[in-house]
Amino acid sequence: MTARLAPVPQQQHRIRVIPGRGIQPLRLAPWLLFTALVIFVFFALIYSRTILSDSAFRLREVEAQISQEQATYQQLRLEVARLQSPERIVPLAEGIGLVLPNEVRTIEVARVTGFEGGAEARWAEVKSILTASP
Amino acid sequence: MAGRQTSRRTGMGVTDYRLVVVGIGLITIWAAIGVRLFQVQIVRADELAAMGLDQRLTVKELAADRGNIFDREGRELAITVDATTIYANPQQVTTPEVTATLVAAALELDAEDLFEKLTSDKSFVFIARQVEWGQAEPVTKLGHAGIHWYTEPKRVYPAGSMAAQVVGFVNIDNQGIEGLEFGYDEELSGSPGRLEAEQDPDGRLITFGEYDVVPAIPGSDLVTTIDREIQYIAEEVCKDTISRTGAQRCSVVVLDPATGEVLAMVTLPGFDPGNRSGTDPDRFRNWTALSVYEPGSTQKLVTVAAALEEKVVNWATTFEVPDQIEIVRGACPDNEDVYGCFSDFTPHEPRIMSVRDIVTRSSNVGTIMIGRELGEKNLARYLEAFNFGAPTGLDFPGEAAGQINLANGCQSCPASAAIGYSVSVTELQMAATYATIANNGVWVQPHLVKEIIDGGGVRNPVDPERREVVSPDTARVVRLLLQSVVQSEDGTGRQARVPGYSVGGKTGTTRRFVEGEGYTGDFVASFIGMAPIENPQIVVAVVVDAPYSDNTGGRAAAPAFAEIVERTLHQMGVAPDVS
Repeated sequence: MTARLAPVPQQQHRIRVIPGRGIQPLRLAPWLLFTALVIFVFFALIYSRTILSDSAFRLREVEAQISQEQATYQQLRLEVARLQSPERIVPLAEGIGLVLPNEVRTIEVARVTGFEGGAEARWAEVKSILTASP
Repeated sequence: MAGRQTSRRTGMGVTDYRLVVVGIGLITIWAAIGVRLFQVQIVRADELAAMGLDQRLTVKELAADRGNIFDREGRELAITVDATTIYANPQQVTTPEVTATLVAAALELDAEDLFEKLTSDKSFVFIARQVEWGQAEPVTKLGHAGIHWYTEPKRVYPAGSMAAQVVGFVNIDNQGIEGLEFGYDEELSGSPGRLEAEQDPDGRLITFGEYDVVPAIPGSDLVTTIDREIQYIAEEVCKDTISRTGAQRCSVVVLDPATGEVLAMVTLPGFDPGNRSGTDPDRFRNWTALSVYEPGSTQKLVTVAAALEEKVVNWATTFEVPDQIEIVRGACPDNEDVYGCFSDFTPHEPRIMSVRDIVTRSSNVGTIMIGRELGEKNLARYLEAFNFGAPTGLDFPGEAAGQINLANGCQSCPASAAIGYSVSVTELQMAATYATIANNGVWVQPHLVKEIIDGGGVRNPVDPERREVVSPDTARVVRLLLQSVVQSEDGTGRQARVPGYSVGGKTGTTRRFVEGEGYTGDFVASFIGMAPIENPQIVVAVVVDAPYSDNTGGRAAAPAFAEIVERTLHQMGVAPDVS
């Protein structure tokens, strides 16, 4: 007997034709939109972070400037106080010939100052209050 | 096939074994990594995060701004400014000789001393602390290795030596150690803040790192009652008085009697709080409130006011007054050793004197006789009512209380207390006593701080204690008696007259008492008074300690009083009241 290979059953391929649906651009659009949104958000975040960093640096600069201005203000206050000191002004005034007046005259306006009589008049007035002997 | 063996039992080749081993190895490694990750990220996550943060985190104390001290018009007496402190790390200094020469020249230091510092084996030495930026800037621009600087607050006193004992001063760390700076240190200091922030290895703060700040609460500002112009006048007059009399010390208190506000408080010789090195510490002392003296005749006012108030005398009551009175039997024949014999300053025949005459001529004997009428208990009561023997409560550290010596069994003490001996007082107590008379009999607690403005800007005014000691009528009579001391031709205070103003006051001349030595040959001359007499705006006390010439109150202190009163009333815009 001659050995023969048993015939291998051939599988019959059935080819079907599936009717094409065509390209569906509307399905792709959300993905594209989403991707664009992600990219936008990504860059927006980077941008905001950059702005924030920039603001922080500017804030630090402003704070440094404030400190410097405050120090200048303090120094100027100190200088003004020193310049206004009588210990400085009086010798300067004397140096340019200013002197304290020897006599001060006061002009009295009637019924304005309430100036009436002298010390003796008041002494006479109080005598009447306290004349009773103990 | 060569090189490929197969286990008959398992059917696996050598390669398969190797793959298994590698696989197990990888799994083990990944498992170990996983375990470690679990350990690091989950189990010890907090601990390790804290350790990491701790390495980056820096905690700094934020210094609170020390409050300012102003005069009553808001003019600066003490303020804090930024100053630069320059230090060195000698280990980093490469050219110590050149650096020392240049830095010393810029900061006006000794170059040799600086060279020694820069060549020491330390890693930190101060070169100059708290110098002004103008002086420090050239050093910062030199750019020498090892020279560093930082900013720190510095206390400065723009008015210089003016009111130095009142304002006081701070140490290098801005802690008050004298005067109001010490007394109000807690209020002036504020509370330091705290900054926690992440920093990079170079010590720079990381912008978006951990950040926590507790802001510092700035110290309160003090608005004092001191008037800079009046203080200046009083100091100038005091200087002239020391030159004129050769006195060791001159002190002045100017009070507003209605409010108890201290307008000026002077002790000379003084000091400059900004440059205290080598100054005798005794000059730091505010003599007017911290030191006591025997007031002498200026205290007769209390005896007379008490007698008038108790109505045991009136201004016209007369006494036959000898020039000597013996309180302790046997004292007068040998009054060197026995206390108890009192004499008038000028010998005279016994004469009839009214209370007004006694005050005007400052008769010791006459005042003792008034004191006898008043009685020891009443005298003691009024001395206490006028606040003798107790601090006035002035808001100043270390105020002295003084003493009243009316001890049991002391025969001469009531008499000596009546004329201002055996009593010790501060100049401020005496000024407050006269201010009571000026204020129609109401004693007002003297004070140096008008209001405290806290860090938030809230103003807290000071409300002094008040109490009536004598009636307004008694106060008015006493004022007129004081006026006669100045206006009468036989009054002891003639040199206190002020053109255009009615002035009243009392002279005082006492032997100088030194603790441990007793009475010395020197005198303490004083004059205390007020003006204008009908409605006093100021009370001025002048004490001249150990004048060499013109050693009585009438000659040493009264002229100083007159000049202070005249210039102060002009400064205050008080119209003259006598033609």
